[in-house]
Amino acid sequence: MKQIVVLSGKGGTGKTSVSAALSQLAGDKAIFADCDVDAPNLHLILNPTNNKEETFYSGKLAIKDEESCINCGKCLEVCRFGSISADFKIDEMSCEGCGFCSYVCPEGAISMVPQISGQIFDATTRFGPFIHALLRVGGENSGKLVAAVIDRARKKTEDLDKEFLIVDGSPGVGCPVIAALSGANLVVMVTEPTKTAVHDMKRLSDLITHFKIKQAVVINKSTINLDQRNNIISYCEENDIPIVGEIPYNKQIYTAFVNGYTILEQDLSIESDSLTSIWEKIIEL
Amino acid sequence: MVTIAVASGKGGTGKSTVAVNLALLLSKGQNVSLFDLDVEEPNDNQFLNLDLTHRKDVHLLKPEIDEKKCTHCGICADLCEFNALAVLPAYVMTFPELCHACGLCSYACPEQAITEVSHLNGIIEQGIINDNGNFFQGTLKISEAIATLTISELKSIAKERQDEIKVLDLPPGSSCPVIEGLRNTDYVILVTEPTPAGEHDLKIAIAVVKMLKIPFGIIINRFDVGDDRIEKLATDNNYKILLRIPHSDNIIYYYSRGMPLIDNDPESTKLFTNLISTLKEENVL
Repeated sequence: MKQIVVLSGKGGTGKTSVSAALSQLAGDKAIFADCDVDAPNLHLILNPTNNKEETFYSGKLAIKDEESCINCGKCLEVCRFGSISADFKIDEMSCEGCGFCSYVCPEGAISMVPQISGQIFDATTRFGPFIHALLRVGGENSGKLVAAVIDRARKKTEDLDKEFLIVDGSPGVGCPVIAALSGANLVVMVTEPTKTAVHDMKRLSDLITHFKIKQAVVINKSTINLDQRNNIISYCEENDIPIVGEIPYNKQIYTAFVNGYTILEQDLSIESDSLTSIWEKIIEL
Repeated sequence: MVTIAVASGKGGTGKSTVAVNLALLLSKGQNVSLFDLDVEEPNDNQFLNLDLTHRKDVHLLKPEIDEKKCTHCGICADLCEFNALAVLPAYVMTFPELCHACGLCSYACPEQAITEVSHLNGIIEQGIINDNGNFFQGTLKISEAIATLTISELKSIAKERQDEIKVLDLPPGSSCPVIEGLRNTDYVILVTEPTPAGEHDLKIAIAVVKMLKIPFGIIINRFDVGDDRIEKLATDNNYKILLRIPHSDNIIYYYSRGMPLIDNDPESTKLFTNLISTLKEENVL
């Protein structure tokens, strides 16, 4: 199995469009997963039928029994997250669920209650099986939910004996991105020729290098700024990162979004040819 | 004094564009501070081009085991809610990337074999905008998973400052880093685009903002591409649309070069002037 993770650093560069097109091109050789559980979007194009739904629990929340509390303040002394107020009330939003308060409470007034992190869906789409998830509103531990999605998706890829697992990731370089990198064989960085996207791609590239994972670049909206495009190319040359393709800028892509189509289904011929060639190059890496 | 957060759910909708240009225009007459809370991919200074000075390092504590004292009793691993310690017969393995630095293991160890050692999580820098404005940004160290600590350091700087207006540029998504950014803010500007993904993630962001009971308004970026779904959503739910930004070649031109719109693009400067009037009408400013 080859796990291909689509990332970008900066948001809005085209991760989901590329992931959807790669899913279509890989077809029955692959399983697809959306690891952006904060703001998942791949399902808007893949239009899945959810066959199984799993409630995923992760992390705990400190809940205090007011009647047993003797206002000794030990909980306030040990909490490092500012989650205990001066009158010893627990702030649910900032509680990390570490259990320190519960451990030191002499009256056993604080219990640690498991929390729902989100839902994981086992789905089918017009291109193949799809695992995706949705973080509960205000849910903690999106990294753990991402790890659970990766775990389910890898198992499914093995069970169905598929060649590829295509993962749509989230923006950034923190917890959920690191979780999506677990088991990855290749990271496809989707960037665009803007100063911010290039800056963010470099940070992402450092992260991937840190984890010693193979990386490749797709330059999306490649025609909007020639100088920045050249910056991407020289960075990739200096760091020995293959550029697997460029997708020119076309406003029609918004029509594909609105229709819920992949770029190939929208019949944007130049962009579709680029993506077909990108997929062929990715397979060879 | 007012603290305004700029958030979005979906990445790449224009949070930084709004935050930077709003702060730049406001700083012409008032004391303003801008905080880039997207510590995973801080981008505001790509447009501001300020000479930043180092303000402070943000450290995170991680457990270190003194194997001479450790009896491998396993209490630390049993208590750790984050699986950051594994006690093996001969030694203790720590997983620093999972550690939340709560301090429970070190406190509970009966042999005092665990000391907390600090390591770098991120840095905070600052600069000056147009004489009247102050800028602060946090940068998460590459390979660090937990972004909330550096964000909350920036938030404490914001809390201490006496500026008339504080603008916070939030990270994308809807989980811990966004919630940490939103806490104790007075108003939220949600930036979206009129596509299914823009709408989907806007709804998630609205759910989070409503949970925190913070008033909000919406900016539709690239309002003239996609369709009228955001307008409909706003009308049906009585949400305030603060501003519509067109999809313009000028904006792409300045954006891709890392140039602010204020003072460069007269059309956009007018738009942001209107935004300030609207925020005044809404009693935000």
